[in-house]
Amino acid sequence: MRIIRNFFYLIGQGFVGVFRNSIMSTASILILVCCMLVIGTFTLVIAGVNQSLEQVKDLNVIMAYISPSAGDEQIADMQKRIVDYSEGVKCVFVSKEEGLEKLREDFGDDLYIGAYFDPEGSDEESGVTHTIRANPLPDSFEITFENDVQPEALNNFVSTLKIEVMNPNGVMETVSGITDTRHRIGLVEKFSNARKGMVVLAGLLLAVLLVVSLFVIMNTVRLGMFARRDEIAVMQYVGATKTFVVMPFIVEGVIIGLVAAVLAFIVQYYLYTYVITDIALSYGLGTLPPFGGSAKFIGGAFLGVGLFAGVIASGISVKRYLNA
Amino acid sequence: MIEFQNVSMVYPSGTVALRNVNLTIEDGEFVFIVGKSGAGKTTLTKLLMCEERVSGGKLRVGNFKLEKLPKRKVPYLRRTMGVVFQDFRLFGNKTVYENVAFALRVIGERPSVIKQKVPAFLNLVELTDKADRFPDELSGGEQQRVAFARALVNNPQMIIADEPTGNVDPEMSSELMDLLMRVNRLGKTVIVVTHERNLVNHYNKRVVTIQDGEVASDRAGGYDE
Repeated sequence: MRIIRNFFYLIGQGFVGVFRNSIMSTASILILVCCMLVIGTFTLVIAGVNQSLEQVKDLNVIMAYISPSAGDEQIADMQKRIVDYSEGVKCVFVSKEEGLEKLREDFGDDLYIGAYFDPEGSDEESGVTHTIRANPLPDSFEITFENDVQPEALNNFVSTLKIEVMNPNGVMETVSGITDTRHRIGLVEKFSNARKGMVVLAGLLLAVLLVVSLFVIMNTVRLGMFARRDEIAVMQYVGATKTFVVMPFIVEGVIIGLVAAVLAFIVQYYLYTYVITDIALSYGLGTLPPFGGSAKFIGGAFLGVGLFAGVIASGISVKRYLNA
Repeated sequence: MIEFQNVSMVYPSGTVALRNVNLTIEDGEFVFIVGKSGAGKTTLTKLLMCEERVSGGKLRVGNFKLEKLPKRKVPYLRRTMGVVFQDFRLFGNKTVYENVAFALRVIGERPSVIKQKVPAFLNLVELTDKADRFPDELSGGEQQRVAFARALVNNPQMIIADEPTGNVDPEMSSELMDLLMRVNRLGKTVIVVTHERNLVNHYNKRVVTIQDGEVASDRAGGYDE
């Protein structure tokens, strides 16, 4: 019972301390809120980059264009060799007709590849001479792979696939089975590097801002202790335990941290939803993920930072004061 | 019982405050500690409260061995004593009632006990009608009586009063001393640190004179500088 009684009394004393030291408490809360907003904004932007990275990773695709010299058997052989390259590699043969159809699906009416035979088209309007030309697209392989496959190595392997063909003189010779490859490996890397850079920057900022927050709360609590030095002395004279003396100041630090976390969460929501998302859109950075997806993490992080800063800073202040 | 055995106290600056002090105060005694400023009187009381630690020798207060008392046990030592200071050390933002209740609150006393004890001790120091006043609305003597009530409310085994009459008029000094006498008659040990010769000589009690950190005399009766 005594512990419970003291607990509620000391919690109350913590609130009294916050209000008694209201100017410094407000300053601490505001600075902590600013720190948390910077941390939160970085976290959300990193989440956005991550989302983009995942989308780009969905494009783990290499298009390999097959040499016109390759026959069906050689194509099947190359496909098998590509699939056998590593687990997680898939290879689909795309004929030139399928390729053209896919292009038409993607580009619709905007597609114009030189002049090719279109049985339903009219050449009179465009002035193009009726020429039946072969589909200009080559046969190809659409190679998809899991993230653990090294894209550069796979691309090199595919690019250097050889086939044996008979030349016009009737002599077998070895030629490249693949004429060209297309991929987006560089894009994935760029996004990945951008994310790594942002994570490092966010980490550094987090460290710096945490230290700043610690100092601000330490100063607030220390001022509070100084203002109440006579009270502390009398508490000690009448037999107050260290816990009894220290707890209100720890509670004060915790209250500052928690209030800052709640305020920062609310401000972060509006800032992200109505400002940062618009800025990202206007700068062509695409649509950022909604706040709700990161809300639990952000809320937890803010509470964690607030509690950590509050407890550690007030703890250090109290310890230093009492040992002085 | 309080027992100083060859107690020395040297401050970190090198100042020797007490030298080989040997002194025994029995339970229920009334003792004046006298001496000039800087003689070592206050250091002696600080040692009793464990605010300072002995540099050499042994010091016993009841069952507590102060030369090796762990820090965490100091609050429990202090709960056995009530302390009164020259400057009262009351909380300006708390009422008279709250100032006295604070000593009980600190040791986690039940609210029902606080409600019962505080009025009783305010009655003892004749301040019942001023329970809701703040310290700055009281005279020096009244403030010191609040400090006395706060020192007594925990029912300590001893009272240490450091220059308790330094900031009050002569008439109030006598009243405060009478109060201490009454407390002593209840069986409490009372230690009064003072340099007011007239006050000491008025009460025919044991007087320990400290001079240059040593016990210069220890006798019943008066105080000759």
